[in-house]
Amino acid sequence: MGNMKIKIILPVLIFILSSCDKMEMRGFFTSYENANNRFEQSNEWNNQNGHSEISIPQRTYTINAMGDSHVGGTENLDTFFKNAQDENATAVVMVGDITNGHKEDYDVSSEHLPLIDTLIYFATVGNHDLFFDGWKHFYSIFGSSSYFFVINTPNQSDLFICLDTGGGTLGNIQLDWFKKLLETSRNNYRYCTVFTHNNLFRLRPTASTNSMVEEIQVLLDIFLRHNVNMVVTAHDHKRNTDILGNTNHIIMDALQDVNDKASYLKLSINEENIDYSFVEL
Amino acid sequence: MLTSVKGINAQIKLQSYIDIGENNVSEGVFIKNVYRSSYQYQKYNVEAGMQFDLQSNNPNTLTGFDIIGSREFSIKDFPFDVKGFFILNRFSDLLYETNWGVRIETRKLGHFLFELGTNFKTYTINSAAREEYNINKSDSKLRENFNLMYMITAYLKPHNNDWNVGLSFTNVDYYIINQSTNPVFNLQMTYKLKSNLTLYLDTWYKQAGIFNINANYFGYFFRGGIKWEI
Repeated sequence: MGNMKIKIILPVLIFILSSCDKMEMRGFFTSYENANNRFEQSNEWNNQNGHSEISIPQRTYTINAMGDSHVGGTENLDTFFKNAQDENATAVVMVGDITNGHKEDYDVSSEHLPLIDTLIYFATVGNHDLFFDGWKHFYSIFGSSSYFFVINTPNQSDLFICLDTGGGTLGNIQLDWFKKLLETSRNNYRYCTVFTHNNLFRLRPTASTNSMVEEIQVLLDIFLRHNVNMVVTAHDHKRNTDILGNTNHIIMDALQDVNDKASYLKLSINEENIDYSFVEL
Repeated sequence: MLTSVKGINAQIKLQSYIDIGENNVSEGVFIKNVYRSSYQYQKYNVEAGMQFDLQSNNPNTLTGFDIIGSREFSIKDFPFDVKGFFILNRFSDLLYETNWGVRIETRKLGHFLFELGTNFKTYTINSAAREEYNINKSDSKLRENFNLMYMITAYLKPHNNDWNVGLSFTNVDYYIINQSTNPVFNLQMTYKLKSNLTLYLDTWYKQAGIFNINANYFGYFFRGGIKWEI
């Protein structure tokens, strides 16, 4: 009887404790680096490279965003980049879980990235990107995961902030940086949009994890106090939208090839507001 | 008064505790003080509490209020309590959070406490902030989908022992309900000074994303308190 128990329990344990292709059980208990470590590296990158400032001649422009491409497959990713190039999007933003964390996934992603002079792209890290010690690969390809960029039209400037929530928390240093950035700079810009991987709200029955509620509370206070217009997230793999105050909260569909309802987000920034639509693939 | 209360098989309990800790969003050490009271009459119980922030980055002093109504049931020899609750969390001077829901609790097993329930969370922008930031009333509330609540506590000693040590795995505290995939751990110790007076000390540890995404430290706090059964 005892022998039988071992025969049943051992394979189950091995299955649970071993890594599958998309998940790494090690990451469930501890991380290769914590949120503060990653932010310090991101900030070092920011200090060396400065922030991107894009000036365009027209008053309206588009930014396309996607999340959860989970490369391996690259069909939808290629379409996402091609559409943005064909439609002259000002930039694209990849909101985490670009890969499953494996070096091979990063290699494939890197091969499919457009040339930066044909399409400006930005990226922030997701939880899957961090599995299998993935941060070092992310950092070597994309650099910082916590930064801001600015788009200048002839008469206005808009602020876009990318935050690293790949570890389920911003960490205290990144949060402090985010608050100070808004306190010192928000009033210099017309619109402010935040991109980050983890969705903040549970808007449908789902097992995808958002942040600790104390952190969500602090972020909601910041978004309201500093008039953040839009928060674009992914992680939940299924689109959802809601409004709280002056902030549009958007959760994107997963872009991954295996998703029957894959889509990306198109932001149309104009004089009146930021319009958005989902483009299905 | 006490005589008449006992005469009708009723009981009053008072409780107070202090939380001291820090986390990724607390900007240093926080200290919170909670006062709770409950009144039990036969199988019915009403409990209410208030939370005061003595030191925190929350500009409010009264930061939490909750009320719980419960009734004891027993099906065959399986005893359980059904609790309905409402929680107000005033986490900011601009917004607040409310939760209401139902949960079931049982101490049927001598060394375990099980709780299971569901809650509905709403974030609301208060009227002063609506006016200050020019926000439509229709955009002032965000309601989340239902959420699973749970608490599993394993105790070293039986429930009625004079002292005990337990370890909880839960997403629920008096004024905080996390998403079900965000469990926290609570190591707790209790000691009965007298038959009606219990001291307790909890250690809470919070790890963001544990068992689910990519675990990162979030915070901890200690809770020291006293329960008095009048």
